[in-house]
Amino acid sequence: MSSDHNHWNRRQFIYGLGAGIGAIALSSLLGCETSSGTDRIPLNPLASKPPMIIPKAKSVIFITLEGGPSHIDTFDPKPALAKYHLSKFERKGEQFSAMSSGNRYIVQSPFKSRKVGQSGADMSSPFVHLAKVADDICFYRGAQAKSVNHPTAMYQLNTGNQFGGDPAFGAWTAYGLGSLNDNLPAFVVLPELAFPQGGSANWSNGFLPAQFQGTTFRPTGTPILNIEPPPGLSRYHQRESIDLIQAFNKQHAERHPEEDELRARMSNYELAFRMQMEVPGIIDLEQEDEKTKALYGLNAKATHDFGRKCLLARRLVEKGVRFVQLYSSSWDSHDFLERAHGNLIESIDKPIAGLITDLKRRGLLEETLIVCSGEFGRTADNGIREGGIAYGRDHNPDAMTIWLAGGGVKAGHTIGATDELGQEAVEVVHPISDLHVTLLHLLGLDDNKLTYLHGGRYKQLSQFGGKMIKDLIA
Amino acid sequence: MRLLLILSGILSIIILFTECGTRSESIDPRYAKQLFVHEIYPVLQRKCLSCHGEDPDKIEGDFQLLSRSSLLRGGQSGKAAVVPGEPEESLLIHLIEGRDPESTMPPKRDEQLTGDEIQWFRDWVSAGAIWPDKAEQAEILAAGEWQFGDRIQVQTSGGQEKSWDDRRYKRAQLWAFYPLTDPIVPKSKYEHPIDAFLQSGLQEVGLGMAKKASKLTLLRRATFNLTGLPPTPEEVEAFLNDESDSAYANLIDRLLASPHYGEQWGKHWLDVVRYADSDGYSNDFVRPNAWRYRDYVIRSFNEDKPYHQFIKEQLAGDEINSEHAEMLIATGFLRMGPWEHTGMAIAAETRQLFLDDVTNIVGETFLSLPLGCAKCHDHKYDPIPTKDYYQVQAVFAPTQFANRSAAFLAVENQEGMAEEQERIAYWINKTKAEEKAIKEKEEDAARQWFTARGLAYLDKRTRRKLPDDQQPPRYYGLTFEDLGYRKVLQKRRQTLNKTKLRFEPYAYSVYNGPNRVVHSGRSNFLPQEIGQETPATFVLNGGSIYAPLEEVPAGVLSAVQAMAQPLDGAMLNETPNPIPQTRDGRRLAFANWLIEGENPLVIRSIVNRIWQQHFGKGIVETSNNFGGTGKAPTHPELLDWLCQAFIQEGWSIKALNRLIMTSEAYQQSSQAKNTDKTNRVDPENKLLSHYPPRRLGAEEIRDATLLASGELNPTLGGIPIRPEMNQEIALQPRHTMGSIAMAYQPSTTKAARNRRTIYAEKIRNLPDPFLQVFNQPSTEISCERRSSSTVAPQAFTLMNSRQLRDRAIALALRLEEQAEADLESRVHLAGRLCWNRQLDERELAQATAYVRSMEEYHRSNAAQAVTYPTSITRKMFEEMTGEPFEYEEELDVFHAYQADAKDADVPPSTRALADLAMVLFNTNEFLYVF
Repeated sequence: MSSDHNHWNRRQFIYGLGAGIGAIALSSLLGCETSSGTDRIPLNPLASKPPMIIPKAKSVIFITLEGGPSHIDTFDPKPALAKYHLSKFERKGEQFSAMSSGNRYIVQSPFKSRKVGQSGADMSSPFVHLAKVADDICFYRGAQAKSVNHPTAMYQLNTGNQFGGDPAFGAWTAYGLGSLNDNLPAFVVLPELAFPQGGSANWSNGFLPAQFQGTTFRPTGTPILNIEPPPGLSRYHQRESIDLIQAFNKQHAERHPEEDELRARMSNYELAFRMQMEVPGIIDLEQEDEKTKALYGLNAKATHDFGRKCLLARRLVEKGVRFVQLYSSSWDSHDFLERAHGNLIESIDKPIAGLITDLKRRGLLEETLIVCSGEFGRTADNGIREGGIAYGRDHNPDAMTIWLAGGGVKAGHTIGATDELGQEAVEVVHPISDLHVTLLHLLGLDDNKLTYLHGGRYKQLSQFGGKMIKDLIA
Repeated sequence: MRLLLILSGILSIIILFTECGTRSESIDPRYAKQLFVHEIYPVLQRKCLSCHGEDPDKIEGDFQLLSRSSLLRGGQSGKAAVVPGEPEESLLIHLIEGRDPESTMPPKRDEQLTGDEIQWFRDWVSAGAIWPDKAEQAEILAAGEWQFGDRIQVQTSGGQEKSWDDRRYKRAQLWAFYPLTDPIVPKSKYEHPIDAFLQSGLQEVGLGMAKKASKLTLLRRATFNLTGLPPTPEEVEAFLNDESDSAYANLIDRLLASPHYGEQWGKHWLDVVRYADSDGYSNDFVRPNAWRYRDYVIRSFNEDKPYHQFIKEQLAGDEINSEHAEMLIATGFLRMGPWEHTGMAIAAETRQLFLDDVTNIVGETFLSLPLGCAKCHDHKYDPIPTKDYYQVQAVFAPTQFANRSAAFLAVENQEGMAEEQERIAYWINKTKAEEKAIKEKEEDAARQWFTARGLAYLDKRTRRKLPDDQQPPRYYGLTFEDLGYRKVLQKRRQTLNKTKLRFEPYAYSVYNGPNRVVHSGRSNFLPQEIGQETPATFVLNGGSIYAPLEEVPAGVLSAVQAMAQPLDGAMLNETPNPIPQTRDGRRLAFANWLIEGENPLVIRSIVNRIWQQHFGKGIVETSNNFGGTGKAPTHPELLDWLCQAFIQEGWSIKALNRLIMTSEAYQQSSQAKNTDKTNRVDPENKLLSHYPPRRLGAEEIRDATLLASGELNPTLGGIPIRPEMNQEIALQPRHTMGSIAMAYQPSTTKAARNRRTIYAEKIRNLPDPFLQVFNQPSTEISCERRSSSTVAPQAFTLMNSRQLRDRAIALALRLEEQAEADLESRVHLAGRLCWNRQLDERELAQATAYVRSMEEYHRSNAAQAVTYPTSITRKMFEEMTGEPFEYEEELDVFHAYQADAKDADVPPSTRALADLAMVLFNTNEFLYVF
């Protein structure tokens, strides 16, 4: 790992979290100011930092629908499919994979679509609750992903790099803006029952210092790994242990007065202790009243699990977490589209509508950016499965619907368009990298300046730079 | 291909650069024109024209930089970009200087202008912003007498753009390409040449080296450095008592001869090549035989294999001798990157991903040049044209994947195979039986369907050809749960069938042949018949296989060839292409090109890596990148001197280790003589005025706890073992395509689990959180140097993890067994095992008081038993229903699991000692090497 050491005065990194490399990174972040003085480097790299440009939002809730939700059956209806239903379809172009070979036929949507809200947004019938907040949403139909495969497309959405290994969007955000709460990680991930394909590289810190890594708050078990003492040991017991560790460390540090990193590790134990105290309270949803729980659908089986995640996301954002990423998985409906998408939509519909409503009534929606996206969209056509017609859809990186709500987005608008069959974006077409640039902008960060020197190059989320999608911004 | 290097004269600049601004009268117009041609225009081309010129559809801010008149006109701001003679009035200058951080140009941080470049623009504007016409530009270029900042032109195989060929490079930027020099050791009070070189750097800023480190510090430093383990109490005693002059030299010899040397130094290599036991991506399929490459690397370091031999074997072992197992195993290097091909992907695309990966990693690993930068365009900073990138890629074009027969070698450890094999067989049978049951259920239903209609039963394959109304509907008789579980079983069988190859004598290797589609889920043995064709290689426009340009031969980096010739400005000899265009032998020829004729990049690369592992940082900090965007060497002469020594010693890495470790610089204290001054003039300790301390790496932490607890099983090599992993992560479901991966279960026996961490199975999508939190690098990209951060989860891991608690209890039991029965003796032994020294009175008092207090606590607080589940309920969303479904997965290992001693197994007094062990493991004294 490399970083810009030019302006590093090690004496200044007394505070724990990120002494060493972590702290140095900030000099790179602060860009042109670094030469004017090291005093701009905060003592704690996760400390809240001023944005680069005037921000529209200060935190993000990123809802990731893993598996590739169908734009056609959610927010981008294609009535033309009805007239071609089950007719043969031939894919043009040279690409050849399991998904473009064999007999292909057009599949119409099993769902009716209708216009909702004053803005008249398109929404398929299983969305009942989201329809009520449609005017708070900006639907974007112009995005295109690079890969037709789940993990690579997911890596691109999450890290900008389809091959993984780079920092996640959340990690960049944490690096750029820090945390608003000293006792909580800046980037929290609420995964689905199973981790997505590609695993934890989806919330990696990549080459950024480790404190910017996404911390998973798992739905079961302890929220953070090893945050609880081993069974049978109490906090009292632990406090005494920490006291002895600190005493030994202090004596050791006296023999090595020149090493600030040693002191950083000492304050790290105190931070860890504080986190242990704070985190359990935050994840305790019992502190919420029944009405709120019902708003998120916690009282119904179908919506309980995702509802919990949405409610937890609100609590985390409220407590100052910069970036919360929620996963809903299994949107990969190659078959039984009506049943699978129907159930999945039901599972997220009320929770997400509840989240938007709740944030709004608390005055938090304006400062929170909500993004909802899969790794790609789906095809209008499908192949044969098990010798018969499968009513489903295959992967499609050329067309998808991403929607945004909250801070600074053009709510109540539908931007961009796909072609007649929904196979390809044709208006306001942008790659995912442009979406990243746009989202960073809304957070007050400039993709070209939010860089980190690694392997001799100033790297950035968009990889090689991108363009802002101005149409999405209010 | 004509390769030559044009050196256009010698530094001949008269112009005065002392202060900014108003010097137009002092700048000669001829000079200004040259400045434009040689400096200004190339910057415009490289950094500006993609948005302000070349493509009329993509002009930003309505501003073009194609001519002087467009500069004078300016863009949408309406203000002239350049006011000739007045840099202070020129918007362009303001923008490139970044006076308003909101609108610095170019906007990308990576492309912003350097101080030199900004100064040239100022001078050029001061001199009137003269823009000579094309003819005059050509004339100036042809005259070639321009030499500012000591720049040279490098003739390569040719850029995609003609203008790229005209680029001049600062000599300093090309430092790594220049032939090795043979520097004279500076005169110095130090005997050791390394110290003499370092001393001259220190002297310049008025610093000196620190005093010598204590013997104990030195022992601990050297032992961790060479073996990744701490010294044992016996080793401490022996070394401290050895007062002979040769004590330290003997220590180095002993450590270099230790078999643990190869484990530690092999690990550094595996970081660079991204070793893992699985594919990554969707299915993260196991690479059953990759472990043999890991052991090959360890062996090679232990044998002190000459580095040139090591290079050759990894790049072309199969071409050297395909009958020799070791040679086939070595080529696993070529396939170390994450890679997967499934039916969902396009074979030509995944093939290209491999080719791009291998091209880049060969550059990073051996040449310290990330070649990937030249994939889509000619390299922006280094003399590497895209054509060279594809010529190097063509070396690997015939390279195909295969798991090749390679008999086990006598040195290879086959321990534990039988047991693991039995386990896998058990699972395969079980899986097949379950699959059969579902199949029977479906067929029974089909039978009934046919019977009900008075029709004869037809098997699935036959009936599927019938019209829909003459056969049962799809999935007839099966529930969605059955369908979901069937997919789970199918993926499980595929995985198990791959895993069982682990125990068979195959090498994760390559052969030369025409392209073939390799599915990651299959065995992929060497094909019976290898076809005749040789895959061709094309320059790919923008790196896309859908946009091939010219075909290219297999070749090498033309700039390296050009720079190898004497720089006397004469027309140079044409260098023949050393790579044959036959299908076989390309890689071997490439390896030979790397190691013959003292390829300066290759030797500097490895010498720098070795130095880095002794001092924490290389002489070149970016050890994977010696190009223009990497860092410059802090001690270029020392580096070359070490390279010469390395060559003299027959490319022996151990000789270089010894050379470095016998220097005073290596043996000095970590406390600088004058801390305040050091912090002021050399805060990063680039000059090495003291020895840089470091935190232990992830593997070292685990290994050191095992050694202290007496549990470490020092056996070398063999199939991957599985230590206990945090249960929540081990049992956390992970999506694969259509299924979830089987749970991670630890090895059954303590002996297997307590092996060194390098032998732990490395599953790309399941990094061990214990190791990850201590900066074990991810396996996607090459790790040139580990980072060392301090984050809260480290404290959680060390205080609360069951893994560390197990070590602590084992250490407590060891203390009770090996020390006298009194508490003080036990505490003393704990100190010797964890801190490698005698505790002082104060520490002893603190520790004993703590243990007594803890014992009291434990007497009134019963320990909870730890149980291991023998089965787990798996819950996942089924993609056909969008609903969760459940199934039971057996955790077979825990039926006969040899668990470590737990709190509930030991009395309060032992638990209290374990608490002390935990405390010691958490201390900086344990975790840092000074």
